[in-house]
Amino acid sequence: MRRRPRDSVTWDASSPDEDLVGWAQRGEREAFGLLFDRHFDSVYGYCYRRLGEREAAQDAAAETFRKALTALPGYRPGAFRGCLFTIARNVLADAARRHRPALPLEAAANVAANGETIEEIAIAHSELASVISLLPRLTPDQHEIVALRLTGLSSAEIATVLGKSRGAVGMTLHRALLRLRELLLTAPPVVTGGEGHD
Amino acid sequence: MTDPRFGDHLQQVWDAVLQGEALPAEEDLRLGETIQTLVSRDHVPPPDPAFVAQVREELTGTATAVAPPPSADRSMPNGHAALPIPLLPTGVPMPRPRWARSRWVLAQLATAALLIVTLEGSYFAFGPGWPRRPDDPALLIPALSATPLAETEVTTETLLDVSSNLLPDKRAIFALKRLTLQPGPNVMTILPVIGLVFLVMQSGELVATANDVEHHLGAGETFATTAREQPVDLRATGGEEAVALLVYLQSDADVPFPRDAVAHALEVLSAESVEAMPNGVGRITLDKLTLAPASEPSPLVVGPLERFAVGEGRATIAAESEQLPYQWTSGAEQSKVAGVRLPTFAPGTRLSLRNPEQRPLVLYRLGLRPRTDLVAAPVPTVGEPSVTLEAAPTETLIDTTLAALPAGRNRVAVDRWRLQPSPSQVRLPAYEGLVLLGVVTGEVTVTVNGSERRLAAGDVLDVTNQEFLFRASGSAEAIAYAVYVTPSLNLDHQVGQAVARLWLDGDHLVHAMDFVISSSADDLPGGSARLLLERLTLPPRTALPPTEAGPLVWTQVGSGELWLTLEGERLPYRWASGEERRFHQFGRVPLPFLAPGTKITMRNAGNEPLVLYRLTLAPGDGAEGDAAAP
Repeated sequence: MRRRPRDSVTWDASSPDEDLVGWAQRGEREAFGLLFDRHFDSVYGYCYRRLGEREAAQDAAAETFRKALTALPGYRPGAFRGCLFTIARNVLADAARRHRPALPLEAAANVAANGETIEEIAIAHSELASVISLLPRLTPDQHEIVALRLTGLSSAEIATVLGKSRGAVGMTLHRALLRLRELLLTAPPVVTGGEGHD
Repeated sequence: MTDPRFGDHLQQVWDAVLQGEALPAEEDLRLGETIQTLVSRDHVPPPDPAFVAQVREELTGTATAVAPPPSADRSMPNGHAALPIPLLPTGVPMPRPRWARSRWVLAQLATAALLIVTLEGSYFAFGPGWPRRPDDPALLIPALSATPLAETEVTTETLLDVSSNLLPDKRAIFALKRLTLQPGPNVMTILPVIGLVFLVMQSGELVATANDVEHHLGAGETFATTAREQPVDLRATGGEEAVALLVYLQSDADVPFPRDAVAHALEVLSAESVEAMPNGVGRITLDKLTLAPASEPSPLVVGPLERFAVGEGRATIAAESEQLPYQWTSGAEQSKVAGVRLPTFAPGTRLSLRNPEQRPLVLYRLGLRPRTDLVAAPVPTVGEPSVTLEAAPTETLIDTTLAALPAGRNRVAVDRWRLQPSPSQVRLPAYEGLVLLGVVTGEVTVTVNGSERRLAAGDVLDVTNQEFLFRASGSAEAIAYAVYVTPSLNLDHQVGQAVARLWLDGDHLVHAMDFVISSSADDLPGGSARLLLERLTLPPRTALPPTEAGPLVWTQVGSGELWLTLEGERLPYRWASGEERRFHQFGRVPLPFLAPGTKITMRNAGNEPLVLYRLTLAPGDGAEGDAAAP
């Protein structure tokens, strides 16, 4: 039987999500803090796999939790993690849009000044052969599903987050893997262990 | 194949690969190999722990501090009395408008008492050469303690000790950050904030430019600014990196420090929200404590509104108090390295510090306390508007009816394209939902499916679900707006790619794009609708009468500063009913989502026109749709 918040007299780091949500709804902000501790890394990981930049991913993950906290009073018991990733999906769209124009025009000038081509810079970049560089070459649906899967969500959770059937998720993931197989076969080996942008 | 078992099977394969289990089927082997490679190359850099801690603290509110009772002045470790330094009301930078000049005079008269109280100390602090121009937006403060006081195992150096009557008069963010600037042309900008910013130089040299005046700063010097209306640019000079500590008290939510992330590093050492100082008068101190290698000085007691941060090395800390931070146990040691935020310790907590390593440990102690011995200055609130308009001067950019508005959750976005006459074209991919291109000035030629359409000012073309190319085809510049209402999450990525292509092709000189509105709608009703895109211009010192937020209205700042007051039941996070906040184009801080029914009051408190873009969808207010199909 599921423990409902009203049944639990206390909570700690081992309490299930739904209990912590219940306590957080009753004003226990530290319960939300535990939810934050539990899920921030995975939400951040998902954001990073979608955006490819550490700072933007951090901002998007933080914004996800801000929105989750704001939405807490209206949250109905269910899959908190799924809700979190649904929020993250929406946040990412805004985050990507806001982040992109930050690329200064001067960046292009610097490239020319250094005498390096875009390709040379890209090859020099240690992330070229990492998954992050490959994911944008998938279709948007494939990119999203692979990012969620790498983050650790099950097919059922992904289906909930995306509002699709498990079969459709499986099919898209399968196609994504076939495409990635092609891409991986042609990509050079990883140079380093992948420190992100900062 | 959409059988749910297929998804389950793929998950089993995935899980088996991760657990190193055998995969019998040939197809599974290939899939498994791909998954294995994929997972092995999936490198996600860890998030900045300081950032994570800051967000956590923000969300859980554990660090909210209450202003303590006034405490007596203390002496600096080098034996000198701490010098209260009145910060002049420098929020309005040069060249200052007339209204500000007259208010400045009034403020000066009212703060005379404060100046008298602090005159003597200021004289010793700054000497006769100190710049006292009332318009000066930034103050240079000499180093406070060049002779650190050595204790047995800890050296204490006071880096900052200022008193001000211009502290934020409401809840504020009180933070300590460390900035590292690489030498080069790239600047870091301190954007206008409501509050105070202090920059305490640690090493290297840099130039701070405010109002076109350059201030050269070296190690030990401090730069202070209220930066209320003008940004301050920082640039490292000399051959080495410049390191500075930033202390700020900021009462708005803007992002104060955009930077080139490659050239500059910004570490959050401490950040929390604090209640307003009584009368906006208070004293800020920053001490640097250096613990010798393998040392363990006498425990210290945390004072009211004192915060600690590890600057260099590793600290072993034990806290004893009846009120300990989350996950701290009385007397139990915790190890913290630089970059990991320390929690907020309650006043009276006894801290036992230990440096377990064979290198110095640097801690920072940040303090904020009220002062009752100084009078409050009548801080000029930023611009009470003198005129309330019946309505803002409004320019209609697009006004069209739609036969079928997309339903459900959608991205809602507007981009503004400025096109110079050229054969070079902008190419945008096909999006489902709704995509309109409306020309406001000039002539634009749009190519869809190989056929060209010429659009003049006032024309709107529906290019939904079709890739399209466009360019200015007349003899003058053309301005067009692209409106998207689309479920596609790829919108941003692809529009960004189009812009990137312009840069790479050199066409950024021909075409320029601004993101005007970038938002989303949770539940569009579908059906016919009227789409209205408007540009509102509020002259300086004007306000609009209060209105109620509608469910399908999106507003963003195009230029200038918007001061927004919200009242209602469902307000954005941490927005108190009746509170006013500022939005401007600098920080790219979008207006938050406003629940329908929220009472909105907008004003332009600045000295430049405020331009707002507003997109309105009015369901049912259209029949057949009059946007031309290509």
